[in-house]
Amino acid sequence: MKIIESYDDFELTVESKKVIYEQIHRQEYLEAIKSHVPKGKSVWIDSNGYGKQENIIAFEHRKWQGIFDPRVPIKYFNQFKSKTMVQAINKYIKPTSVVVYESEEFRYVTPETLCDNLKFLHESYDTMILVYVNLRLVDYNKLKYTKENIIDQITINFGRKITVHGINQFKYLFKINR
Amino acid sequence: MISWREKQKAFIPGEVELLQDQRILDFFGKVPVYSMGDVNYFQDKLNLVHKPGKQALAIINKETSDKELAQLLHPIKKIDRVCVSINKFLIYTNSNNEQVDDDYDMALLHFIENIFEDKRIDHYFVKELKGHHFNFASPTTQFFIE
Repeated sequence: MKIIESYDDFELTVESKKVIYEQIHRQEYLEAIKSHVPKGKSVWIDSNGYGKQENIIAFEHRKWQGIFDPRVPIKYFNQFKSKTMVQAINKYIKPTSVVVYESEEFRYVTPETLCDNLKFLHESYDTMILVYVNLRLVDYNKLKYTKENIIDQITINFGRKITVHGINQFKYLFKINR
Repeated sequence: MISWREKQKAFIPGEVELLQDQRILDFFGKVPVYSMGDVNYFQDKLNLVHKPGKQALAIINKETSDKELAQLLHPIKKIDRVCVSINKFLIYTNSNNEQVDDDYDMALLHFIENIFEDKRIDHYFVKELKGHHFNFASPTTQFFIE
């Protein structure tokens, strides 16, 4: 019998990675998110966006490359905060929205990191930003602060540009306008 | 439907046990255990019973408020040997509590200490827990109380 403590204890196969990716990027609230996406080209980053709609251009982290069909036109990045990716998206795609749905960049992060990541998106892309956040997966003291307090801490940085749409009890869509 | 625990265990060839599950198995052995919460996995591994006795296991792996958690644990606070296993991401409060310890892991320990007064508590947790320790399959914050 082998006792395992963490993912550091073994190597993941491509099949295992596929299972994990699908578990992370659940489709449950996809329709709710899509209803907020404006017309035009939409860039979906780390959001399992490929094939969801004709006008969606999907960017995925390079670590997942092996799990997707190599024939599908997914673009890969090494870093979420990549200047090259930002420039390429702004210059060549000129999207009407950037969507981040079920991304690892917004999981197991503190409210401060979550806020920094939102700021990065807002400052980098000259378009509407839509970010789905599951507050269950945000790392804060859940005996000390309410989820409403955490949302206030995040939204205070964006003034009137941000609107928060409740999707389910702990799930929200942050919409940041230009 | 295959559980998230079983799906992840299948990533590794051969017989595998998660560390946090093994701790529970080692703690209780074959002595009857009164159980509550997400204990299905242990149906065939522990001697689970429906009547409170000398041992109890509570696994909290769904959204639970601080008040609900206190109410849930109240009936087992006098039991000799207890394991409380909590997915700390799924706890919530409906009011801000400034007096609570800033360190969430310590805040949870104090919460448990307040319920299980004058008991010895072994506290296991993963500092800066991310998604690498199977917490949503089997909670990694555990209190072994005697």
